[in-house]
Amino acid sequence: MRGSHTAQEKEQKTSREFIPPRWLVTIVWLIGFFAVWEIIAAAVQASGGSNTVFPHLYDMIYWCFSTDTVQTATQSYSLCGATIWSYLWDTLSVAILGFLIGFALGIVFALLMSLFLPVQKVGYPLLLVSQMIPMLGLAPIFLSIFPELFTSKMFMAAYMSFFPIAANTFAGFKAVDRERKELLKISAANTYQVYTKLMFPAALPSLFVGLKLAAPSAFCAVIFTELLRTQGGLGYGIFASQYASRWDLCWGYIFMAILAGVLIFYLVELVRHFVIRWKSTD
Amino acid sequence: MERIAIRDRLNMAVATQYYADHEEGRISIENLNMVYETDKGDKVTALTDVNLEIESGSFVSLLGPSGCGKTTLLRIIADLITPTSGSVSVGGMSPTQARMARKLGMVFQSAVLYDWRSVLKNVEMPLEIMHLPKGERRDRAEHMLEMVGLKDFAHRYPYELSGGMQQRVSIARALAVNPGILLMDEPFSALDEFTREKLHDDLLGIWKENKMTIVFVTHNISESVYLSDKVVVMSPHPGRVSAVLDISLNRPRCAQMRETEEYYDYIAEIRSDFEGV
Ligand SMILES: Nc1ncnc2c1ncn2[C@@H]1O[C@H](COP(=O)(O)OP(=O)(O)OP(=O)(O)O)[C@@H](O)[C@H]1O
Ligand SMILES: [Mg+2]
Repeated sequence: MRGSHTAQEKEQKTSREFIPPRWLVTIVWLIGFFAVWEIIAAAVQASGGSNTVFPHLYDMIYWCFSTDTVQTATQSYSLCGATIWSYLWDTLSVAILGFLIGFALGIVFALLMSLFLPVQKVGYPLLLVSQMIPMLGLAPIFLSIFPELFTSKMFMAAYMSFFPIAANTFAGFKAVDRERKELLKISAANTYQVYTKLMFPAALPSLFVGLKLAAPSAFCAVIFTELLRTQGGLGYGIFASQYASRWDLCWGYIFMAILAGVLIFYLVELVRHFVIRWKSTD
Repeated sequence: MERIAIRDRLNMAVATQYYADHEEGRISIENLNMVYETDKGDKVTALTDVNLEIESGSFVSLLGPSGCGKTTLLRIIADLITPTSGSVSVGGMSPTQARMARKLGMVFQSAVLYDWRSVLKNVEMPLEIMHLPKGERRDRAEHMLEMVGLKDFAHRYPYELSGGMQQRVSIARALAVNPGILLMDEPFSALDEFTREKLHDDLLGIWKENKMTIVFVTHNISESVYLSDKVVVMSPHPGRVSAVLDISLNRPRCAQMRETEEYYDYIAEIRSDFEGV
């Protein structure tokens, strides 16, 4: 009697504790998404809608590898499917470059604010105000300042990643507790040692919060700038395919942008996973 | 000529030895006052006219209720804050000189370990700052961990340790630089009774082995009696030293002493000191 009772308990426990592995969750999620998408696409097309407004997924995948070109009445856009990959690379490379610049500048600025009180007093409000300038207004200004589209895009990405990185790194420095700093003072550590051995390692988790915000927003900033100029990149692809009323192509570019954004986010997460191997004891 | 030189050298040696025995870990505090100024501009008197002699190699407790300025006094000795007035000498030097000469070790109420470093690396931290060679650093850190009984945990991270074990690591870290003076601010007050009593005996063992001065802040009367040569009783409003009591229980002290009449007498005496206030 007692034995069967505990066996039952054990069974209950294992069934309650079943947590599906992540890959399974991802697969189920993807299948669900594709199913819903295909049902809507079929419904839209059955009700007589254009087959490009809500294209089937296989059409889009086919198109990504096709070499068709698209003509509109006014202009000939080189929107052949294969260009999506080169457009993706255009966008991604600039975004990464800009992100790295914003990263470096953000860290340096956080460091200066932490080291020198006047810089903090002047710099921090400036940092907050700079964040209120909308991207919509800023992109044309950057485009007119820098003659090259490439540099405009790069600095937009740098600008967008600068704030979250600077602010979060600085917050990380601020949050280092007093007693940890005092211990180093008692060891007669110099400023360089205090930063390399305490401040930076302690601020890392906070810095990564900043990186996770910065990376996707650098990518978005590039796409947005590309929408305004017709010279390649995913943003241009989205703009041009809309102009040509090729919604299927537009969806393709949008999906590519989402995919790249998610991948960038997880890339940062992956790096964080390998860098931060400890847990807080506070 | 020759003989005089030898005698001089002998005198020097004797003097050096004398210094090592009597000055290295000596703390003298005269007419010390500490007034904090808050951000609003209010003044808070934390210590008034404190005079205190702590002999080299002794174990001294600062005992008193919350707010009587125990932490303040400890932080002045550690050169973490500067007193408003009065003179403080730490090992024959100013607190700043003593700190820069790395004569001090500090243990706080919480372990304040560096979470991103392994236990061993935590103990090595002050040695890294001293630019000690890697091999020597490792040997010393391992020795310290052995002393606090955590040799097997050297490569764990702090979050993998219990509170008592973390506090041991922080003691090992403070001792790694071989400080003449160890300052401890309520180091065991966050621990349970069993762990605390175990650590009392461990600390006394370490103290005997390393011959340093220990200044131990606590608000636990029996703890101060069990550990100390001298209990400095402090009282608040304003913070001051209200009594100094020598504890002449035999050494080495052991758990059985916690049952003796002598021990209870000391506790009762200190209690009555507080009631008199
Ligand atoms: N940074 C500070 N600014 C202003 N007042 C302070 C500051 N630090 C301490 N005080 C005040 O000084 C007095 C003594 O504080 P202290 O921390 O030394 O007491 P304590 O004896 O260590 O108390 P506890 O047992 O609670 O730790 C208190 O009244 C406290 O409010
Ligand atoms: Mg205190």
